[in-house]
Amino acid sequence: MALFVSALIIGVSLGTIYGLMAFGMVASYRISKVVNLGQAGIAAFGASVYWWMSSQWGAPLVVSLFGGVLVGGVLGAILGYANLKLANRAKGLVMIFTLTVTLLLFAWVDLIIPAYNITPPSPFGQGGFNFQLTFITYAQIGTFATCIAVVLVTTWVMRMTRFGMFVRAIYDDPDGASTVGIPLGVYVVGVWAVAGGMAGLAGILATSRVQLDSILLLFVMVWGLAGAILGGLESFALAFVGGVSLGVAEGILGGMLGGDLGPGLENLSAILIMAVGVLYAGTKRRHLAHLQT
Amino acid sequence: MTGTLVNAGTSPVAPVEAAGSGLAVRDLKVFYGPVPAVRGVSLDCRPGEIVGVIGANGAGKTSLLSGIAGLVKTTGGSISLDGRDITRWPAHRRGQAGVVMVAERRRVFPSLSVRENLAVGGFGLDRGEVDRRVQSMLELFPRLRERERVPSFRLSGGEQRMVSIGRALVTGAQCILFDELSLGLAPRIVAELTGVLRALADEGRMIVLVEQYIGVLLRLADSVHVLERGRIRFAGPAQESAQWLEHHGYLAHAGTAAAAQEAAEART
Amino acid sequence: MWSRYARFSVLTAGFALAVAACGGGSASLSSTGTSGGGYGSSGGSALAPQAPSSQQNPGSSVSGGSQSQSAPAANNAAPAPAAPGNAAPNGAKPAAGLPVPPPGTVPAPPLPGQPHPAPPASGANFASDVGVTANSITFGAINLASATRSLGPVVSEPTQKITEAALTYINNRGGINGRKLQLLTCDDGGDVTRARACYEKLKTQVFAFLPAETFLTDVIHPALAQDHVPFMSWGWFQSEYTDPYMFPCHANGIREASALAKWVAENKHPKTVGIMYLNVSEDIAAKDTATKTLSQYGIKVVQNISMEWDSPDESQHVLSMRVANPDAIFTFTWAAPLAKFFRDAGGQNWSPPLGYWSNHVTTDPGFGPVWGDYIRDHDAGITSFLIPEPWQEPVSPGNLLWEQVTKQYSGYDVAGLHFKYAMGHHISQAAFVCAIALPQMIGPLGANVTRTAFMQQLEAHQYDTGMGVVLKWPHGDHGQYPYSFNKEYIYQWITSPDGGWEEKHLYPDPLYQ
Repeated sequence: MALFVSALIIGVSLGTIYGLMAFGMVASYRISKVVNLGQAGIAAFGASVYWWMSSQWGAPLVVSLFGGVLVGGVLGAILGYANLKLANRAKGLVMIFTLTVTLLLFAWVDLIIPAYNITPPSPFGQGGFNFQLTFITYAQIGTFATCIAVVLVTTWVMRMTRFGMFVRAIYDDPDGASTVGIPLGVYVVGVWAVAGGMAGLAGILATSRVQLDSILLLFVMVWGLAGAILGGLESFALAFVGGVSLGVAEGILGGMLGGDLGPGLENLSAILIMAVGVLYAGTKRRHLAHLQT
Repeated sequence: MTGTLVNAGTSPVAPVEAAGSGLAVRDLKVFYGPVPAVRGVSLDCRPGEIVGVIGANGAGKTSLLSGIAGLVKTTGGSISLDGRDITRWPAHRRGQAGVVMVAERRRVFPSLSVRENLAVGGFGLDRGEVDRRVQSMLELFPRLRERERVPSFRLSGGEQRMVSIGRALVTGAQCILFDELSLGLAPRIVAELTGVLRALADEGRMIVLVEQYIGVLLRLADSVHVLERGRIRFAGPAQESAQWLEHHGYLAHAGTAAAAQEAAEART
Repeated sequence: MWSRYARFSVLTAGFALAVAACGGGSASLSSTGTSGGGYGSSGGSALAPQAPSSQQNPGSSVSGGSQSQSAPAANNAAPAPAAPGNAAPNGAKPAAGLPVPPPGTVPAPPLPGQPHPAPPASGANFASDVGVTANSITFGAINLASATRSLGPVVSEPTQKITEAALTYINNRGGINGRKLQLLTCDDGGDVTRARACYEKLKTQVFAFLPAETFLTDVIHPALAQDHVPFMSWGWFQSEYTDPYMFPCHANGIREASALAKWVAENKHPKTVGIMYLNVSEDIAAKDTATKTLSQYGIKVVQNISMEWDSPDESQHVLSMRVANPDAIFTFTWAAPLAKFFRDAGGQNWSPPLGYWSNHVTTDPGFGPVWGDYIRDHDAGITSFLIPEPWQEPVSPGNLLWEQVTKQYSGYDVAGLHFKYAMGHHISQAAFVCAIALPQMIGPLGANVTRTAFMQQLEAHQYDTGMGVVLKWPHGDHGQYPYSFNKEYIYQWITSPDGGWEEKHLYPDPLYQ
């Protein structure tokens, strides 16, 4: 039982990062129907900026954190603007474009950071305490709390503010929203900027736990995408839960079963969850379509 | 409901701004890739006027409205509102200028509640003004009041139509583009809505109405444009249009023809 | 209008990606040298400190100065490389773009299908084989310099710089019998297809290949035999030790695993161990080899952890290891996931009682500061060569030469180069020892330098690197006893007197039999 609880804690801590990435991907997908694969590049770049500001400039960690998130937001906005201008193109092409941006940002990150493995300092400091079989670090708690806070605040904004109401209107019917005077472009860019900021934050939180490695963030994005797909790419709550579920699966499978699974099976389990999510999402979309007619 | 609006004497929402030269569409063209949907349509709609557009499926009616609203790219022609050329304006700017389309499909934002759907029309207005206009719409459509917090995908077709009309009115639109007002609605609801439209026009709003039900169209429209394969085949006053429509086989059934004639006479 | 910009952006991005991926993709030639007496069959080199020395393999029938074109001496039953005789390799072309001797002074290199020209009666240098002219010998190196995702730049650049420095050092002493050494490099970007193209391009221009980092080496064997190309390699793949045309300059991971497991079993006596390995064939094989060796000592493997190089988190594996609670942990994995594991294990303040025992990945002197405090007193790694560290006194002569040559001719000092890049001391050592020994390997051949004679020379002699390794490639299977890396070295990370990181040499040195 103690092992299970420990594995669960590890998985939840990891999964909230996936969930945050999934949240941003759902946000950008719903407003433009494009799977935003630029999130990984933005995460890597935001994390690089955080590392650069904190380790090279000596800026306070909080300032560096905001710097990384802000740069992520700016990059997200630029990507959102490019997405607007490519609106008449096939969505698949635009998705590939976002992937290209990720690879470009990876290359850029490689120019910024040293060629060897570096680990940015955690914004939540060092240390922690023992619980069950595992040692829970302040970084894990901080990561969990930050992700939950961001998700809750975003949810509140979406549900309780006029900005959120207009965004939800665009999600439902962009044409209908624009014909009552809502400037789609501003909101698309804005939402992509928020998603970019989330990616930047996810990048900082992920890399400060392990190391600044752009490929690592590519896979954080993949698991985030898996979580988003688990939520049908439409539901924020399900996407976040999906991301957390993947982290929990990874934590439990890795922690409890260890090497018994054999090479690659931990990843395979996550892929299987994603496949189930795809099937579920298909059903869900038909359900919504039925409701809307 | 119609009575509510008419008897009130004044609009429950923002007053219509001083009438100008109205909506003027000239030689409008809409293409989807190489495929023409609208091939040079011209029409005028002055304040207080309801312009009807009729045509078979695929004639280009919805494309025409979408082109005027800025939802599809026009490849030729011009659109002006009160003398201002709005041809190159994006859809949201046209909406802010008072040209609002009430589309046939996806009439509401399904995940938003009824109140939120109405409030979306108040983009750019302060919160107090939005609340006031929404309140007016709930008075105009009382059955929406009791479902104010309900997600709008749960509404009936007629209720959804009321929401979409209400939302357009909350914007303070001076030119409303209706696409298939009566489609899928019960006759009683249609009767209510036609009354609302007439009242809106009487207040000085411009209304372009695309409608497949000729009876409804002739009952409401001041002038009728018949669209065939993206071109205007006929344009004229509603009274004259009934004869033209009958002569050209649009009124296939005797009952329909009689109803149309009756509707046209009722307009005179 | 903007859509045009968008298109431009996409195209620009795509182009940038393509360039980044290709890394230019072209072969580059470096050649340096000044006049000097030169190395030669007469020996007499005046290296300071002592350059690697060579001696004839016991029992070999081939003399050091032999110019024989016959097949390599058959001292066992293993298949010998096909003797090309005097024939040029199939499809060989004259070296393109290389310095051409003045007309009339030396014969041109042989054209494809034509026999090598006969040596001049005067005994003067001549174009005796592919990549050889009267006054130059061109070598090739295929690396993954632009493969940023595979640490290509940090691994390949030091190796290339050090190889170039070694050749310059030789050239500044007159080259080999008056011939200057040149290096043609080709960047494969970590892509095997491109690597094959590099090979096809270079095989008609170079005399032999020198060690560099490329994944080509595991797939090229049939081509080498067909083209009769000697390939001194970086020793990553096990197959390099069985190919008669390949001459590995570094121990491979499977033998490291065997030697390390044996050493830990005999010197640390764990009852249980855990093994962490990267999910690639070489490291899976290393895990299996270690397991087999440990079982001979009655040591039980209580946990196997398969790592992915892209793993976003290793904390769950730390938990898994903690639950298994082995006495010691072996690691045959890649730096990135291992660093994550160490970081999390450090955070949990946990380590196995007898510590971690790793392949050569952890022994790079630059890794200490990079991996953090946890590695100190917890990890020891096995590596092929003695480590050239400032604290190591006395510095071995080979490492001293390596440091001096690198500093003088590449602009880096060895420690600086590796502390900067934090990678690859062992593989750049491998490149250096095989390059710096070329005068001993080729000099005895005199004017008639041929690939066949070169390979015979390599198999018939052994070369003391001065770094604790005597290179030897027994004829046929180059991995058979006496294998070059029978003896390796184990270093443990400790805290230096100034509070930094230091590596302590553990004894006895592990042996592979």
